[in-house]
Amino acid sequence: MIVRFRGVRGSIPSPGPHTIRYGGNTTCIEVWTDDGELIILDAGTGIFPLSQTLFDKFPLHAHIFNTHSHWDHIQGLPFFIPLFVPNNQVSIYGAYDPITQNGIQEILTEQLQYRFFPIRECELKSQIHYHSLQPAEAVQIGAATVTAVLMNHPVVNFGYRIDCRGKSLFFTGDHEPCYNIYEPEDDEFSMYQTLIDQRNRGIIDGMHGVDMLIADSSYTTAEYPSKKGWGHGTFESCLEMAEQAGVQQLFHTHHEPTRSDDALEAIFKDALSKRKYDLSEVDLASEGLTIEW
Amino acid sequence: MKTCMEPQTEAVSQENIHQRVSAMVESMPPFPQSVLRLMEMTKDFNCSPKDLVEVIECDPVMTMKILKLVNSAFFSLSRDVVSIQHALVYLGMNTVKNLAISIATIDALPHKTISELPMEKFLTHSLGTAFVAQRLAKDCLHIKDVSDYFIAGLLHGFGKMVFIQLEPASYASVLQQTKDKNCSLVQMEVIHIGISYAEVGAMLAQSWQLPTSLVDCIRTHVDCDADSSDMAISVAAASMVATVMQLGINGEVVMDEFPECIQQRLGCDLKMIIEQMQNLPDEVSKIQSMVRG
Ligand SMILES: [Zn+2]
Ligand SMILES: [Zn+2]
Repeated sequence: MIVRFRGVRGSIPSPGPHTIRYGGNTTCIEVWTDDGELIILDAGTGIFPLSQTLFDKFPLHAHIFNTHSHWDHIQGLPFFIPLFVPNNQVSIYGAYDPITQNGIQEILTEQLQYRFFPIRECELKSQIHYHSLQPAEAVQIGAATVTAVLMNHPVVNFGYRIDCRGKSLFFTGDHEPCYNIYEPEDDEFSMYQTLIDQRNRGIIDGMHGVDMLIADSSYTTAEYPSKKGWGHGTFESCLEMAEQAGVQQLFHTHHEPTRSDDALEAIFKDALSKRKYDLSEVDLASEGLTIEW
Repeated sequence: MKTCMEPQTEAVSQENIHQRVSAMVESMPPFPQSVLRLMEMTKDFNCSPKDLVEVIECDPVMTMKILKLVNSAFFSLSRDVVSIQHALVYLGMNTVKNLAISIATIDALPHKTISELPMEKFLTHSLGTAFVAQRLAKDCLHIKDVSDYFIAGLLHGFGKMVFIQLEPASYASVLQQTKDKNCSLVQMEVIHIGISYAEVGAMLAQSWQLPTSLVDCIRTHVDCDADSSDMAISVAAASMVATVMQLGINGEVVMDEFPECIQQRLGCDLKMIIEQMQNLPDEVSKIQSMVRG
């Protein structure tokens, strides 16, 4: 399995001198399975540089898994070059949205409205397949199985687990661990806690024992209280999740757009010095970083 | 056009009633005060999840519609979602909030209302039943997680709302005759409409894929015996308590004692329960004024 980070930034692309080492593109992860299938996790702006490297692989079949429909995870989709080239196939997977009651196909349709983009959906030359997934649904791609796990974010967000020939990874997308809305003295507190424990256990089970966990670590523990309910994790919550799920290696991602490289390294160092868990391999995701195993 | 209120010259087609009722409920609006309160509350991005749950769960229409969406085939979760708290834990605060807003703002028909069973009074009875059912489950049956008992109490009479919307004039006459003859409402409904409110409510709950325990409770609470579920017993008893205490109106005749099977299961009689429930009118009016904001 080969994993290459193409975009590690949250919210909005953040190019410039202060983000040169970790990169300014929004979320996109390139995965090649051992039998040569291309799986792309999210289509943030990082998908554009990725698409520039694919020309010699045409005709190709790319499988794009969208964690959720926020801008920073779909922004690059209309710029995914293989969409425009005949004989390519692009399969797009993602959640059904219970509020608008739209499936995954609506995302591209909305993005390609003529007012916003010069090429209309019917003018795309590749074959596009859409698959709206249900929580816990698994998809077979060659020798790989990709399983959707319902996470916690303001919109429905799927984490994806990829298993292929004994190797595995899990990407959370955007995720904030569930918390109790009641105070300990409220009648409903323990009932709600039971529900949350069940729910968190389901999430941990979904990523259990993977070789690599890539997780949303937008905030520091100090920043978190003012961002509670916004749907993102902290360095600490990700370390805890990695510990509970017994994963081999953890990558922190979805870096804040205003965070400079120096600041990012400083808070990472600080989080590591305070961690309660002994996980040998922990790192910051950075654009271009490639891991093969 | 045929209606389900025609006299029994022809057998009433269950299928036909089902379709009409389902279509009608889709356009049934939530109660105006919950809509107002909800819109007011959600102007604040950081509105309290606790308050949100409280407003939604006091409105049978909103509750039923949210549970329907969450349990629907499009979004089937690995376990039944039986309460608004449940929905919150699975879908997150923002999704539930936006579901509620979209339900609150649908272009719905206005409520029809009849003087024999005004909607406001009916809502008060439903809330009273919800409170008592929860208390009975906790105090008499020693059940720990009672949130689904609240929902069951709130929704037990949903079928009556459906009749009022569908055929207000005929249902008014059924209610009047029940009162005049001092007989069972369910029997009158079956004679004049061909189907009882319990059956209609259960049919809806079933087609909306609400949990089986809830469907069974809505269907069987009108006809309890020694084999009835704890939930059906609690809701049946709670509805009688609310009726005797004249908390709202439910169109049924006042009983002076629980049926034997209920008394046996709860281990106490109607009078004892009523003595313990002296603060009930206060609690219900407190929650109603909270909903009104
Ligand atoms: Zn994001
Ligand atoms: Zn997001």
